[in-house]
Amino acid sequence: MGELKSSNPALQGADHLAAEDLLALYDVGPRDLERVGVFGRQVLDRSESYVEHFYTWLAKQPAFDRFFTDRATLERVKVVQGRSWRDLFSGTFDEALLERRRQIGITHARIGLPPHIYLASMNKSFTIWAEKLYPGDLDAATVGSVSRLMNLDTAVVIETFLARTNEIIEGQRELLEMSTPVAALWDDVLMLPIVGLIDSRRAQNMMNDVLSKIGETQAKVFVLDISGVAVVDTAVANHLIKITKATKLMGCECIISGLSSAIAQTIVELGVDVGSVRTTATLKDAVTMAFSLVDTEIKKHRGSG
Amino acid sequence: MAPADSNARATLQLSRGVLLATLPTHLTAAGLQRLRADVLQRAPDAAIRGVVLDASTVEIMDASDYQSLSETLRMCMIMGRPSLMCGLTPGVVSSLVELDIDPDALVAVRDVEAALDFLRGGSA
Repeated sequence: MGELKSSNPALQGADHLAAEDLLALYDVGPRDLERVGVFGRQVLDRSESYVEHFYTWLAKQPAFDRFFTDRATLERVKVVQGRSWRDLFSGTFDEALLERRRQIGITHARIGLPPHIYLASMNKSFTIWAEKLYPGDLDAATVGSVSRLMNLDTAVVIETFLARTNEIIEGQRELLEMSTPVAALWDDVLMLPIVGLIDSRRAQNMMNDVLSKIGETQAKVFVLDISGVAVVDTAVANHLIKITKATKLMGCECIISGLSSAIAQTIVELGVDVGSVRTTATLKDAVTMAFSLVDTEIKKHRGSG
Repeated sequence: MAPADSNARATLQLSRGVLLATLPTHLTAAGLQRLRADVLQRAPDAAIRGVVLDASTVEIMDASDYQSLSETLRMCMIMGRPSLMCGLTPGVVSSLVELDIDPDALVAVRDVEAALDFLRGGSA
């Protein structure tokens, strides 16, 4: 991603821009920051009242229960949020503050808060600060300055949120690829040990990897070891059978190994038709079977062992 | 320029007693019917000891194409000619499995070489 960064600041995401460029982009000048500072001094001593208004509103939102499961979290978030507003309404905007705003985006990405909730919160907050808590009437210039700074801030948080979310998704994709290590065990013999849970997406991924590997290596036998699979139910069994069907059409024999007595019992009790699928209890049996299918024999050296 | 249906027609060749049919990139019902007729017409020939359908250039195969091809192979088997399919690509196999076809309806091997080995009595 790094090399895609543009030298033109207008084309870069807000998560990459310097504080100075951002201020210029959002038309926030020194006069605006000054007005925001004055505004901040007027409203910040009523931040307890803000918290009350804001959380009364937030508690009505469907996402509330998901993110505030306990009281301690809620209290902590309230404190952090108070600090965050004092920061934003301080009347200055430098790199250090920008970095703290980006952290907010990263935190929201980590907990998976939907952007629309964040945007609605900012919108609601502006209404509370400007209409409910500001003593007297606001002049148009201050409204303009505060809303421009809040727009800038929202853009920074959302951009960082999206960038971080994309990183998380990319990481998951890489993890998924890593979870199907199809390896050549011997000439003409491939093996894939599966550990963990199998869902339809992982099964599809495994099938694609196995088929392309068979296509590349022209393997004759494929050993699928399921001794590390946590749960085998009808769906998982069907996924596995699908993979064996596919390898068969590629002209490659599939052996499923690692069928423990518990798995065997489950499969039979569930009435899954394993048909002509070759299955073994241990990986050793499967490897022996695989070698005999490719006319290879393993022999101990005389005198050893 | 080639006629429109030229890439929908299979090519047949006889090599060392094996009737090798190379399937076209795009399969059509009419093309598969003609392939069946051509193969069945030549299968009784005493010089032929096996039939191989090479699907390595096929890009898309649906369940009815697969059924038609497997039936053609079964017909040849009934006539005493060992018959098999080879060269199915990962993409085609993936979609066939999604269509829930029966993989036991035919014998499939990796490529033409493996098919010839199989017909010579070796393992696939």
